[in-house]
Amino acid sequence: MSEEARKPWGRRRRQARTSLLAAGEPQVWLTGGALVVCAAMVAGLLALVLWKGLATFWPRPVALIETDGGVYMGEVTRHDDYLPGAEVLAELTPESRAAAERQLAAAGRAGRRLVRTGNFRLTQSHFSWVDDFAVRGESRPEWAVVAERLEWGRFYGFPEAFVELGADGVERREEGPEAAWRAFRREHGAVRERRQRRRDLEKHEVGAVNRRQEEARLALREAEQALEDAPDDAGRQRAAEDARLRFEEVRRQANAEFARIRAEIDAFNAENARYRLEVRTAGEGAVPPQTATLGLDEIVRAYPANQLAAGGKLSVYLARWWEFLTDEPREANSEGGVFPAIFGTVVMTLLMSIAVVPFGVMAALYLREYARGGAVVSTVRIAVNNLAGVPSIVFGVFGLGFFCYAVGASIDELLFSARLPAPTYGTGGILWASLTLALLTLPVVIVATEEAIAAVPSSMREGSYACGASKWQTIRRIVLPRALPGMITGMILAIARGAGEVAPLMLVGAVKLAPELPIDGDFPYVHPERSFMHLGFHVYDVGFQSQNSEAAKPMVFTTTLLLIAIVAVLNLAAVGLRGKLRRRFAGGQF
Amino acid sequence: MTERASFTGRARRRQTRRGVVVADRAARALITVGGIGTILAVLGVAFFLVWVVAPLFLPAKVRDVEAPTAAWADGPLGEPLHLGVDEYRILGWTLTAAGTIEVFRLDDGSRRAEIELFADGALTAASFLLQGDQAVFGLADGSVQTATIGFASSIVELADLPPDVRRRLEAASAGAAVDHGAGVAQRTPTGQARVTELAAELGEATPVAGGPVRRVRHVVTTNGPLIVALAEEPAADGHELRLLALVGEERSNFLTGRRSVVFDAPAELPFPRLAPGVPRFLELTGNGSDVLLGWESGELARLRVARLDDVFVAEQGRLVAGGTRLTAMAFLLGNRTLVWGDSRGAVHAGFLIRREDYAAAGEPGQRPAGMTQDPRATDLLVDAKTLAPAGEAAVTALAPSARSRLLFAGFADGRIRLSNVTNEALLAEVRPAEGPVASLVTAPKEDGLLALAGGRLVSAAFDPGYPEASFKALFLPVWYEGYGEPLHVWQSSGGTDDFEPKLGLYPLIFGTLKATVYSMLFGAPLALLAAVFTSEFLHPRTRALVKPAIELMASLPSVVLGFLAALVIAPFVEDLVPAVLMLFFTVPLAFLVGAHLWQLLPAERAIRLQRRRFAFIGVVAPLGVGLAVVLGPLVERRLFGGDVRAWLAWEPGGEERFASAAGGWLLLLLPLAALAVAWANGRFVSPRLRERGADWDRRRFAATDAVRFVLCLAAGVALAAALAGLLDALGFDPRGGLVDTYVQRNALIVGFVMGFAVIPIIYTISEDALSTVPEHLRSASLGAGATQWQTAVRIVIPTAMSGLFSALMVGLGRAVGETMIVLMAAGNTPVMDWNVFEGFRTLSANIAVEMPEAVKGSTHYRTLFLAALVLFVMTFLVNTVAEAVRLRFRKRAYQL
Repeated sequence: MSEEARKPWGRRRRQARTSLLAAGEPQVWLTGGALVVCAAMVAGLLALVLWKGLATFWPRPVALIETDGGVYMGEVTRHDDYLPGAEVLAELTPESRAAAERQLAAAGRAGRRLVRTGNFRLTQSHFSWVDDFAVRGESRPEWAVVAERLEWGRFYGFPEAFVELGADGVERREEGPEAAWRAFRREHGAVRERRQRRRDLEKHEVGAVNRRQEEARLALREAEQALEDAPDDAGRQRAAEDARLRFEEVRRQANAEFARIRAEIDAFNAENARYRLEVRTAGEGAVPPQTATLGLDEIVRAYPANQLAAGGKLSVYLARWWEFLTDEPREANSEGGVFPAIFGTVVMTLLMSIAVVPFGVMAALYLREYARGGAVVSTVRIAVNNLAGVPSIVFGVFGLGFFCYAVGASIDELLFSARLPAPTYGTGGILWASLTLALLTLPVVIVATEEAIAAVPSSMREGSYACGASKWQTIRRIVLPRALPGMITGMILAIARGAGEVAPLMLVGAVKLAPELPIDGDFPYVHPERSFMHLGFHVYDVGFQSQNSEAAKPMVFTTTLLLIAIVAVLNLAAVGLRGKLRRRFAGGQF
Repeated sequence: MTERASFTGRARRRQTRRGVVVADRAARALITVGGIGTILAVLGVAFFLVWVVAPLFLPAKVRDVEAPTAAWADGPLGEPLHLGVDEYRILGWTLTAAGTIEVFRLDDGSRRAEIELFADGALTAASFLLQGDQAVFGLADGSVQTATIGFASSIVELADLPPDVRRRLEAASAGAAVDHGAGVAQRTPTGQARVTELAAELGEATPVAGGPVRRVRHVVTTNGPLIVALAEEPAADGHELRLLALVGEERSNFLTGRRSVVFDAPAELPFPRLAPGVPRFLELTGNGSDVLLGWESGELARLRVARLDDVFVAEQGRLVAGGTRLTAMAFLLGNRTLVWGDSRGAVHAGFLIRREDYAAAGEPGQRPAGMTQDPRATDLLVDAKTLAPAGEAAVTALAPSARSRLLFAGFADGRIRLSNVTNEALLAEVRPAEGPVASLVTAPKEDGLLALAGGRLVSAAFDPGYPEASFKALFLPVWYEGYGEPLHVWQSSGGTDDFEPKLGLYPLIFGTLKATVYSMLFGAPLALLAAVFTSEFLHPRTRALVKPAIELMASLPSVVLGFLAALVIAPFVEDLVPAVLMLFFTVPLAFLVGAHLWQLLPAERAIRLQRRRFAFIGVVAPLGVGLAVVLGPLVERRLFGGDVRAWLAWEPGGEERFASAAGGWLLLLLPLAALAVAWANGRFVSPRLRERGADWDRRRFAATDAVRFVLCLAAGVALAAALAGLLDALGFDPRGGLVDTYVQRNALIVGFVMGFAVIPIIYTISEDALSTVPEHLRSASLGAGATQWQTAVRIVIPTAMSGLFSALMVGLGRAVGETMIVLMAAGNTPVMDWNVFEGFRTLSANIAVEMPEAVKGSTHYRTLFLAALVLFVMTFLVNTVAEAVRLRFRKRAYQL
């Protein structure tokens, strides 16, 4: 074959080859990079919350750090580096300055660590920064004990003696860390139990008596108001007189009750006050070591951090989680548990779902099945669709203005005028919060349900009608079951959104501390007017408005973890349910 | 006809069972009612917001204008020294020039009491405060005397009243006033009586001069009271005028707890004689630092008396235009804003502003014509507002409100105008009488006025509505007192009760836009590109993992993001500003380098590894991050004098090493230069390379391409550096514009974290839009020989364009309304600049912060509702556009 014959063939083949530029590899990599960045953001965020949230409660060793400026004992919470100013360096001892300058020359910045030293009442601070260059030595003393207290945060020190005041007024002392610690372990459980019983008394019994008294007072107030309207009505005069007598009687009884409960509480207190632990601190900075006396009943939990084996650590860890999930917060929400917030979140979400599901389904059914199509319906549909994108805070503003100030105030005037000017329904409460969130999620539910209903093939409806079924029968037996997976998914997603929403709640009833739960054992058991705690609001409040934000931060991470877990479970439930129901109806198509 | 037997032998029901019919009807009724009700309830949100907001824009109402005949006055009433009204608008009082107080009822004008404070002719001047009962009188004998005059109410039992009063009270309805003693008694809703009487008590007199005191004025400052008096001193040739200041000190007696005021010896102030005669007006600023003297002929002198040992005339000249007389002058609440009226009927308001603010604002030219200032003066009086234009009738009386910036102005033709000074809004105008308005006073609760017009008393009730809010006050720049120029300011509450509320919504709208812009700038490209990759290039199995993960992020509570932004990311970024800035360059760079290395792979291997490309891209990303960490300090040292934050905070005159702006320009221009180079590259280099390289094998082409990439990179950096050097040499500085002083909680952080909120939404919707592009289009394109990338760019993306746009709009809507993230991470100061490193305050965060404290029904409350409405409208518009585009897209997609 000649060259001439092959050339055009060959040329054509070369031209047919796609240029490398056409593959757009760099551009593809950029789009892929965007996806990597997005995925890394999600993963990083979840990992951060997961790690910080799970690690918070793990007991850390207690370090005794000796520096030029004194001794610091506590848990090292984090490391950091900074640029010390010239005046800081000037104040150092020569050898520290040399160390600092070495460090600065090597790394450009000086390292430091934040030590949680506790002992707030002695040092007026919970944390201390310790410069790495000032450190002379570091050890983990065997008998360093961490005591978590009801007030004033943690205490770090060495147990010196356990003091028990006998009934005869004689002090029995058990000296030495080992003996003191043994005695502490022996008595602490009983003391805590007494404390718990005392708290139950305070909370339930005193509360019940108070409530009875308040009810009688309100009855009296109502009778008086009725009398004011018609001062000459003999029946009303009599009723007011009766109410007054009853109130006096209740007050007398209440005072007697109070005295009895007080006596019981005093007995528990006196018994608990007999046990004390004397703890010697390591000193902090310039503050010399000193001995502090801790009452046993103010100690929530204490453990010798450096002696704990893995099992011991695990038990402290789990105990802290248990406290977190089941107990009430203390120390301005920076310690203790979040049970009221979990409870509030769950109850609010339930109330919201009860309100949103039937109405959402009704509206969607109306729009899809009953309304006659036309410009009005499609306008309404677009409007509802758009409402799903309206910011939640706008719904909060509406809830405050409409539910609390308009509807609530009217209810107060009609039913609770005796309590005015203190509002009952005229302020934020769990009912108004639920309704506000219901309104917020309604458009989402309507849109999701409508789409699910629209996805049911009209052939099935027509088949049903052809068999002689009525419209409602068709909807109930044919349309709804088939639309169920989509509807439920939409609802769960809406509910997940509601559960995580905080902005509107700030206006309509979420508060930083609400010891009284919206559902409890007191008549009438459900108190929809009460304000409540919410996990999301708790995160905002503790993380953002706390005094001691460094100590509160771990708490916020655990709360965040909990909130994310709840939302994630709801989401996964939606996904799982969708899959399951889809499979169930998958074969039904014809 | 015989009945046909059923085929099955069973009678067939030919009628629907009643139960079914009933259920059907009931269901229809229930669903219709419930459905419409639900939809109306949801749509009602908007109507409720409008309903609450609407009163803001309703005008003020003046009603019940009545002129009770003052039966006790013989003939027309002369010009009184003062008029007063009680809190419940039942009683009024007047201090006559003769030194007598007349107390009368407003409803029928009957006299309730007459108190002769001074003998006729003894009283020559009087000074009253807007708030409080203290008064100071100037006397003919050359002394000043303090006094306490005001209405006092007390609640007494009905049984304690005289029998006839009690009988009449019981006969009257609750709230009706019955004459009692020197005042009136009213029955309260609780069945008691409220007795209101005027209490007048004279304090001690302090001699200040030898002749009569012609003018006196006093203020109560934080240090104590200050009295300034203008008195005549007998001199050889008649008399001369002296200006005297009395500084008082409050002392409280430890034993009795009584507080008393002790005055120092009077201090003589220099008296500038700008015009002949006694100045008609003497005024004091609220902090007692300035004395203003106004002559009827139009001259004004301002004495700086902040230090009594160094008093000088700070400003002097004509306050009103030539040919007009100054006929009225008064200070508003807080004694900071001066209002004055002239003989042509113009009412103006002005205040002192700092000289440097005036200069900084470019001297807006609002100085009263003909005023000159002393070089030592630190303040200037500006004529900031015109409350009434020049007409024909002279201004005769000015009555500021004791609670707000409302002002009544009375004119010689009997008109009374009510205006709000802050926003220069005219609220109402009435003409209750024909004669001149001699004196005017606003009721303490701002619900009524009392005037002496044409020699008769006139009282009227009025409802000012919400005067602080008007379109101008809410959306246009307003010249607030003490500011250098008209500005947009949001400051809804202040520490003192004479605070001037500043309700400019614009800074909040600006903050909302800033948050939106920066978060979209970050989130939108990422989300769109990621969606393109997911839909077009990602292996289906990986996609099934990645997509739900990013979607899950959509339901992440935003409070979590806000908390992480504020407490984790913000402090972290603050420590690593240079490295974080470098991330925006190094990470894309890493991907590009990775792509060019990938091209160097042999074709066979590249195709085999295609499925794992995403993993390789993932591996490259950390390398970019690492590069940023390495480059960060280097860049900081070379470009920013070793400290980015100090560089950002630098101001002219600061440290020399931060002076150069080139570094900032370089970083800002780099993206632009990259775009320019990429464009030039695509336009000029690529076609040539394609042509020339048609014969090359893959390896050679890839190597050339890599070299080209490196050259382009160098060209981009060189271009940016050249431009940066040029701009710096020309004296331009990016600081003060897009970048400026670093604040920990700033737009960069919000943009990044809001990205978390926006990305999942944009990603999901746009990915859905891309994947619903019909498969046959893709197949056709690939079959015609296009590469995957060409198919994506030229076929899939254009087809899905409206879906992508709709995704962007929905993301925008979310960014506009996001509350918790900005609340926690944006710092919440309502500043207005585009600085990436500065915080801001959005509408939503503002509502969250201020709503719990707003008083129900107040202007503030309704303004916050307006903020919510603005937010609502903004998102509604954005979503409607998105929805309209989406519907169009759907129609088009069906057609394909």
